[in-house]
Amino acid sequence: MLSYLLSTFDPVRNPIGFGASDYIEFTIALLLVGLVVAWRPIIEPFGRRFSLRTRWCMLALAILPVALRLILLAHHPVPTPDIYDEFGHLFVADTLRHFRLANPTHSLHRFFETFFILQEPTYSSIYPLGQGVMLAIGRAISGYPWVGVMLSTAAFAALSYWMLRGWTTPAWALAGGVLAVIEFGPLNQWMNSYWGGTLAAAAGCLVFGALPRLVDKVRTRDALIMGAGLAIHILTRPYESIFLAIGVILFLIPHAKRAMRTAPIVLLAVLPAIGVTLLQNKSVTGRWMTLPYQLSQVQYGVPASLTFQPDPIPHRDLTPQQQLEYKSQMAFRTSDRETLQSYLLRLEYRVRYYRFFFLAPLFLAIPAFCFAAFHNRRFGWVLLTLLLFALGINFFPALQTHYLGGVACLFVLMSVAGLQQISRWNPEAARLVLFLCIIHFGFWYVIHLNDQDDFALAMMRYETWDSINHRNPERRIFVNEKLAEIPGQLLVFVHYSPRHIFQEEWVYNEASIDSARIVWARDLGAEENEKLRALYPGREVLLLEADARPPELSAYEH
Amino acid sequence: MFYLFRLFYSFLPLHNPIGFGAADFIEIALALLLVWAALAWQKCEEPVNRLASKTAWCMLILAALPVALRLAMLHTSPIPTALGADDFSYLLLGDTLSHFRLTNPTHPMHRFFETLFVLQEPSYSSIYPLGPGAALAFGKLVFRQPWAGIAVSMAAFTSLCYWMLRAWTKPGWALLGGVLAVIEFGPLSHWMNTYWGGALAAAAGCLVFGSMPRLKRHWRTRDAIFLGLGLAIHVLTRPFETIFLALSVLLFFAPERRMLLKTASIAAIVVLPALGLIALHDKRVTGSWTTLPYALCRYQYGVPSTFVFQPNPVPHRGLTREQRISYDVQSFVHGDRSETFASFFERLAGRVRFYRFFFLPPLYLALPAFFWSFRNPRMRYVFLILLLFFVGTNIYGYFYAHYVAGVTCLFILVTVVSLEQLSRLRIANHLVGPEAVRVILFLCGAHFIFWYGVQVASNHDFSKDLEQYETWDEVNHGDPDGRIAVNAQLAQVPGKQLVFVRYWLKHTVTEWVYNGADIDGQKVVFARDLGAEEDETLRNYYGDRTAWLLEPDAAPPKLTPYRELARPLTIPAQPAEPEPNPNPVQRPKLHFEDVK
Repeated sequence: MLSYLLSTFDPVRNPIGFGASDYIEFTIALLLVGLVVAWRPIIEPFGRRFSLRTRWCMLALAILPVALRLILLAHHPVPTPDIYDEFGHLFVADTLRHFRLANPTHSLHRFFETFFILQEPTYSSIYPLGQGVMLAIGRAISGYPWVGVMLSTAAFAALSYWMLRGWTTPAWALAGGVLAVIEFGPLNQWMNSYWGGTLAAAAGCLVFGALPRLVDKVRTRDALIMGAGLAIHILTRPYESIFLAIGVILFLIPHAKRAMRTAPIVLLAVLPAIGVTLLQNKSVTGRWMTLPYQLSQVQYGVPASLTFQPDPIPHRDLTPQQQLEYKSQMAFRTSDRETLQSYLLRLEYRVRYYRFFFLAPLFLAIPAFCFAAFHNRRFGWVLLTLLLFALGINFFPALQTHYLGGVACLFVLMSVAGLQQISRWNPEAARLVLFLCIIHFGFWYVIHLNDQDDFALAMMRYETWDSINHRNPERRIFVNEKLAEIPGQLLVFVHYSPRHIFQEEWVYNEASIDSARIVWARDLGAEENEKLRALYPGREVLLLEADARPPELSAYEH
Repeated sequence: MFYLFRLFYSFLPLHNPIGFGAADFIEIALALLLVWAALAWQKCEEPVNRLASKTAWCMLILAALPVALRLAMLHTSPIPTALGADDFSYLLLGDTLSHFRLTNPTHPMHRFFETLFVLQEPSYSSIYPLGPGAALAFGKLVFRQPWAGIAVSMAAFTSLCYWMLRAWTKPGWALLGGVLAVIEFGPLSHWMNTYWGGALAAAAGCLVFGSMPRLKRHWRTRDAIFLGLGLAIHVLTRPFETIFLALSVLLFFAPERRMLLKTASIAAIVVLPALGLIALHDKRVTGSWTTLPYALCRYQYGVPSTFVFQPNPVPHRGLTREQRISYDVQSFVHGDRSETFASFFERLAGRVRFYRFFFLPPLYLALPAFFWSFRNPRMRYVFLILLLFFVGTNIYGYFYAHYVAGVTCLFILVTVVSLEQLSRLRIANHLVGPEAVRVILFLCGAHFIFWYGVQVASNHDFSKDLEQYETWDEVNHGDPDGRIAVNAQLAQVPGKQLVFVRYWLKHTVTEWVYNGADIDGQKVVFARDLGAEEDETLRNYYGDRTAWLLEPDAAPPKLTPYRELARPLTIPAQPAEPEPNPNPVQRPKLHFEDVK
């Protein structure tokens, strides 16, 4: 019946005269009316009762994004890493899995040169530990690092509710938790890649959830929670932790006495994280105070420096791809010297990225929140903290949404408090906005659930800011499947053609290269390659033509 | 700086200043409209309810609303240009009536003016009934613009819709129905943006269905006259469907025969002149009091097609290539096979889609609630009448929404009653219906405002992209056939013009040879290109006119000065003599709308 009704979207041919927009409109109407009808007799009373049960709510909110994502597995399998940041984090996890913070330099490391991985003085990722720890936990539990990503998302969704309980009524906190699932859950980039985002977001929840609780009543538990949040954030996003700390200080200034009482406990939780960071620095770079990230800037000239700093200069021979990456990162800067105008232009440009944190209907809640902020000093502080983050990360020439992971819960708070304000004017209006958010999610979720249908394929081009893998990256999955069919240990020389797109790097290896089943190596020419072949005599040697479409894997012939 | 405010700069999220894609803009627009509607409802419910009881004011507002809204769109969607054969035929009728005559004398050179749905002999006339033409003539005479007649018809329909609903439901719901009529059939509708009509028959239906319950409640001569007026207008507009409308009246009064007779005697005073006018029109156009122009056209040209239970008509006149294609297409749609129950029901099921024209998608949610009202015999009657029209119009091979325009007000009534029923919905002792109804209405409002906004902004890329998703609305934009450009080009040339229309081989059925009622008095005369030799006779006839050659199949259509003895490029001259009747024995039997 349904397939008959959806047989065509040409209104004059469709059995009931519906075009695509009619179906969408009808579906929205159906869901809105369904929610409206069920709201007062069913959803609201249940929601209100349930929202008072903190643990149950947290459990439900933790399970929800994971369950919803697992349901999608048939069409959207466990994500395959593609971007070099993802490989960098996975490499941290793999290193940690071996109970070490860095790996010894490989004797033939020039074959393994890649992005965002140091080869000397140790073989290490340039990234901080946080995301890697979660990926390592995931791998330890299930064999899949991605499970760590799911756990982070579960933690963030649950902690969003916990955090909001410190700021608003239980019912609105629950609504916020649901919004967090909708916005940052199964369809979101944070849950479908290895870049992270949700771990920093969960850390932010701990910090911002503990703050109002500490001010209302000093408790060791809340101080420890705040310290834990700060610690996780430092281990995940060290640079942005500066603004997080400033935000905390600003909040506590009017309550200096209480702040002084809690500070030692907070420090107790933070200091081990700082210690671990220093230890990682020492293990990776040989210096306590040099971050791996900084050493990468010295050696490879990437990642780009902050906009008020001079451009880094590479102090190492770069591969052609690394050279292009270096040039690309330098191109992030629009002018040679940072000026107030260039700074503000970049700030204005970045407004678009904040759509990631608000579904389109929630943009209506923003002015309502600002209105509420006039009457509520704490909300004013929220705006100030967000401004601080926006200004602070604006010193970095590129922006990814997970840079703002730590304040994701404040964006959720803005949405919730904005809706709460609207509901004071007209409860029906606030409900309708909330329902539209739910329908937004439901619509795109169902589209992804049926993503083989023509209708779904036609609709996907209109989906914005969601990011879920559709059996992609195809080329990597294709090659991985081919390699899985070949038994024994393998050595794959990767050959790039002159038209190679430099970001499409293939040479990523495990922490323990020599014992990995597959060793990926750069093709440095027959003579050089022989040295590596000699090092791995027992391995079957293959050549990957990475730029063929699809990539070609063949036996290596010298 | 400040490119942040160039919101529609791009719909690629990463290129858009606020990160919005097209779907985001639609979503926030919807959210904004819903929130606004919820806030406005809070403030306006009381005043609107008070207004709903003021009949004259409501009718005035509802009459003004579609016209004002459509006029506000004129900068992007100007007064519609006639496109299809029906449009031009109605306009010819309007022009004929504006000359205060029912038909026009046959032109001595009429073979140059052969076109679709226009008779050349025994008189030069449209094949259509008088009603829609009268509206166009009214527009032309009063406002110097035939389309004004369409706008006035629409105003009449929307205001009468409220008047009709007042007899069936409460004032608040009636006003709501009137607003829904504006939304559904107003400025964005096919009925208001072509010359095909629809609104006039719909207004007639309002008079009929609005007066009947009033008569039953409290018999008044005024209401009987309204009933007669409605029937009269309807018979002048859609003669065939008037059979079902008359049946509806009979069914309504069937339990009370005395009232029926009393009403009929008054209504007849109005209906009989209309029937007389039809007979006079027939006599003037066809030469026979009882032969409709429509039926004569079928006899002469084989179109419009017959009813499905009749055999395909056979033309009795030489057809131009375009007329032949039109005949072949209509014959194909009609089919050669005899009608069976299966084919009847298959067609009936296929027509369900066309009823989308009468209901916005959110209203489909409320429609099932109409069945809750079946305890009320009047609602069962409404359902029966709609079924009657549904089945009755199914015996014709083609279907357009204006065929059932007479019962448009019943569709609105069904909508309103459904919403009223839904508003009583209770779940677990909670009255949830009103909010559900509000949401449906908000969405209908949002639907209209959204598409109206898209049309008002139709010169922007954003609107152009979206228009492909607009369903069942029909608003004229630009110059789809190139007629406006050609007309503008001709208007710039001083003096009288004669335009020979030459079709290329690829040309199908789109006709360009349309003229007014007074061909010789027109500034521009469109004529078929019958070859240099034949054309010369027309050029001699119009010695004072500048001759042009129009090739509509060029892209864009090409207008060039007519050269002496220019030969047609592809099309041979049309046969001068009529084709002989291929099989006189198989001449169709006489039926309704057929030739006696």
